[in-house]
Amino acid sequence: MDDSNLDAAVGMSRKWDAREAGREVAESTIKNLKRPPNFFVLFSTIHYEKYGGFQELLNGVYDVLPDNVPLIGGTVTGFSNNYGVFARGVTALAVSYPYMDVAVGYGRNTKRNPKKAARQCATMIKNGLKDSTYENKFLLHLVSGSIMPDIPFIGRRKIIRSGLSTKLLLSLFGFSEYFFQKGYGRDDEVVEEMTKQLPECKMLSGGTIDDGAALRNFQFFNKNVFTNSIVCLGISTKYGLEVKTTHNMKKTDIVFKITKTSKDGRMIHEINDKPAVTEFLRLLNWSNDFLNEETWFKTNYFFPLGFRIRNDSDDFGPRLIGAIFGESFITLIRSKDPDAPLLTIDGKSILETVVTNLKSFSDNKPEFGLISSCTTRLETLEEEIYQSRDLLLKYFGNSPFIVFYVGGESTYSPEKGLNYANMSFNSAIFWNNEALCR
Amino acid sequence: MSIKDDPIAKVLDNLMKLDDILACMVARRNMISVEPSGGTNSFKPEIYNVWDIVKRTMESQLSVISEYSQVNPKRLGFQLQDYEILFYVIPDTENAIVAIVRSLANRGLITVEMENARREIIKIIEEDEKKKLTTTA
Repeated sequence: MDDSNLDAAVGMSRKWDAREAGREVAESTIKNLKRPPNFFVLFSTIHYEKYGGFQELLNGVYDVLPDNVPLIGGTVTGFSNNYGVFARGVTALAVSYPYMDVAVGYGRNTKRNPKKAARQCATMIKNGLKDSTYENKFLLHLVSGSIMPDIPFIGRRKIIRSGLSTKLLLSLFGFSEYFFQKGYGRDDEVVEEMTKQLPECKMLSGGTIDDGAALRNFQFFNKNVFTNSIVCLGISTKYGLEVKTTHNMKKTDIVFKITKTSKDGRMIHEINDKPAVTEFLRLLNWSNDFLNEETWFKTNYFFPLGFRIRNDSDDFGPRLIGAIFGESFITLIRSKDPDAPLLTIDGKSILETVVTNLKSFSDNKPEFGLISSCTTRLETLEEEIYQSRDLLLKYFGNSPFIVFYVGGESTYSPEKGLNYANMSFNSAIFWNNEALCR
Repeated sequence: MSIKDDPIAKVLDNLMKLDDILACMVARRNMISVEPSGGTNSFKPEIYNVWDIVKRTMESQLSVISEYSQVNPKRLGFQLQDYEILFYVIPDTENAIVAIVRSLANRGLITVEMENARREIIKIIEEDEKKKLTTTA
């Protein structure tokens, strides 16, 4: 029997009990593999928090999986795979292949010190792959996403236009960020540092998330459940692989200058030298109360801010507004230059993003794929997300794939650089490059 | 078949476990066809404050589904006070999965699970029909 071919499989569970779901996802994933897997990647929705907890979920996985199989994963709003699209459940992808070296790593306290966390993680990966001689290197990293802070007397709201003074609100936000690690994910900073530490690797990343409420999220590393961490899978292989980011956003003719921000560029206080929120509403011709907690999902996501993805580029990536405090926007990705066109998209373009993305791989028959997609794509398309999944099924055929829905996502390659955005579709596709595989 | 053994009731039980779904059933004009295993007692208590008006609204929308059944409507939605009533029509029937959710809920995620519930129910109906054909053959 020739056991030198790559085996990849995807499995899932929709059981409610965490332990049972862990066992079922592991069993269904590895049952068709001819050898124990080199690695196991696990994505779960937040529901298991109430039905046994994530430690029990991992315990269930390792009831089935051999103890020495490395695992990384995290919480997501939902996932697509060969079986369907789901906003509740757990899914996994496992690969076994004799010509592949694997390492896993983690870094803690990503919100407090993103660079240190990235370096900690990168060191583990470097050590794990230092003796590998395969030429294609890939990292999958999952970083803890943003968490809405609980502000005294206000609670957790996306829009706070009045009440406490903006200055006080923003101070409380900063305090929460550092001391409680409730605030921005700072995952873009973590990912940037990873690209500096391991520049030769192609990368795919996603920010772990809950069900969109942004109250908590979790990362999985072997048998451990983490918070505020980065977890990373490093692969070194002769298998062909490529990464690609697409978003299909169109520039509107509404362009403005960001004229005042916080020191880190994430809070936008003024645009066109005017209070940011009022000016933004005026530019869009929206009334003062048009943007509220109820309309948030149906408006904000369709008009993201554009930002230059690199200093030398005229490509603009989408960046979401995470919250509104007084007249200031809290955005999830830092502003690095003042130019900001407003972008827009419709449902048809959201679907076409998938086609545009997969076209770049069309010469290669995929063996397996991992795709990080912004949760807003799932939330705006609603059940029509099945159209997106059907496009993927047509491309992958019987080859396993998982789309995991996250908050903040990116790809990196040495040739194309880092492309970090919101509302985007980011794929990592692996194929059998036969001439190099022996 | 008792309600506890009804596979469609089990599909509804899974929907009821989602925090933002306050009530759900399979219904058609003038009739609730299938309830979750716990019946209407399993509905979340806050729905009882508005149940009468919700029932009347449901009835009017189910009449629309019945009237337009020839053209295969797929989905209806109706916003009422702080709630949204979602109707996912089961094709080739005049039945719909009806769910009452909070209007501030993350609707995108709920609709994905409503669609999954619809697909499961269609599968159950198809398997049932296959069994009947096998039995009568």
